[in-house]
Amino acid sequence: MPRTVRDIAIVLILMGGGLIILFSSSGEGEAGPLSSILHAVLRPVQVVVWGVSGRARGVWNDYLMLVGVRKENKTLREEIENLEQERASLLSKERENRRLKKLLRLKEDYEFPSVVAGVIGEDAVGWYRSFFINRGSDDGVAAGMAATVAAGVVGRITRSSATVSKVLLITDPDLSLDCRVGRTRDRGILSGQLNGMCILRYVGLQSEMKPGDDVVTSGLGGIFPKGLRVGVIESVHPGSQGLFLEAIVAPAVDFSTVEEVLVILRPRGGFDIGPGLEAGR
Amino acid sequence: MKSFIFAFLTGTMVVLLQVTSFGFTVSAQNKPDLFLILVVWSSVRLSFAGGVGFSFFLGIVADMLSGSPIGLFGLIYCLLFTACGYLNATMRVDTRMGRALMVLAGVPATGSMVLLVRWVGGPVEIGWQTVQWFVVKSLVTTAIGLALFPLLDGAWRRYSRLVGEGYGGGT
Repeated sequence: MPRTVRDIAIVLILMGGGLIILFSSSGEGEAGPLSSILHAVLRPVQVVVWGVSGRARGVWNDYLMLVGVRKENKTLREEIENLEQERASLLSKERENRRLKKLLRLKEDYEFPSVVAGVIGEDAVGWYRSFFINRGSDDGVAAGMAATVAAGVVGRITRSSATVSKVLLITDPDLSLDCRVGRTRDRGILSGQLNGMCILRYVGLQSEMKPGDDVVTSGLGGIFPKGLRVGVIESVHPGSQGLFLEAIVAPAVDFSTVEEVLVILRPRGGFDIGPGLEAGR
Repeated sequence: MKSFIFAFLTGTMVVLLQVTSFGFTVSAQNKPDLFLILVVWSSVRLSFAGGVGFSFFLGIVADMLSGSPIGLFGLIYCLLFTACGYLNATMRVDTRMGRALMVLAGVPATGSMVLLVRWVGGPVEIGWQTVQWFVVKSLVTTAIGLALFPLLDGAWRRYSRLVGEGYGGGT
């Protein structure tokens, strides 16, 4: 067979085969037998190659992504820290705002001039119960003035420099103030105790005071205005001599949480004890 | 003069520590009395004249930073300095444990003198809680003293070497 004829025959056979395959396979639906055989042979190879390449692609993508993620993670951590600090600062400001609002309401309630002061330190050695505030004689604060918060009486200014004053707390045995039992109007002298409580002394034996009664300032003595809350009676017992009654009083103020106080600037000649604060309540 | 500079520097550091960091770690009532630790240490290291002056100065600073009447701690620390110096001179208690024992006894002594002054001013209820308070404060101060004494000794030794002053001194 001449070479040309052979070549043409091969081309025709191949084209014919191609046409047979083309026309024998339907457009959609099940694959033909040839296709099935081909797929069956190729499938494992395809699976392996695809799997390996997929894994390689995944590792590469993960690596590239991790480089970015590490950076992003660092940024996000910093952002979280900043937000947490901001949150703590806002919460602290919110609490401060609440306390100052309470003090402001108290300041408005008082008919006396007063000044808000921040607590800047506590007793250095711990043998006394006192703390320091950031207002002094420059702001009109002087020894003998009363320091209060919304909950009640805190203490008395004992020393004052230009910008700092020392407040002796009502739980210190060195501080005494004239008080009344709110319900029965009995008078007594309240002073601090070493255990952090207060004691109301020199109350008449006929008094009907009982645990739960409020103790308020009497206004006598010219330091504390009348009607400021001091504490609540916890127990009542006869005095050591049997001539008076005594009461253990829990302070109305939790001193560990006091951060600002209102210093009542005492007018010359003391306070007018006539109307007092109780009348307005 | 050289001892004065050292005393001034350590005194300043102790004041700063006393009014800042210890306030956050323990309650105000039970915070250690670093001034007392320094008084005990100076009673075995500084000369009598220098040490007693230093103790008085520390006491005045303590008075200014607490609710006490001015001069009370000045007086108390002078007395304690003299007592510790006397003990050291007669019984040679210049050891870490000896100084710790002086601190252990010095805290209730200080507290008792404070209570005495309070008692003169008006009635003071003294009960079991007061004893408990004294014990806790003494133990806390002693523990801090045990840690501080070697530091103070080391600083004093290095300082003496630096400025050429003899180590020790005593009363």
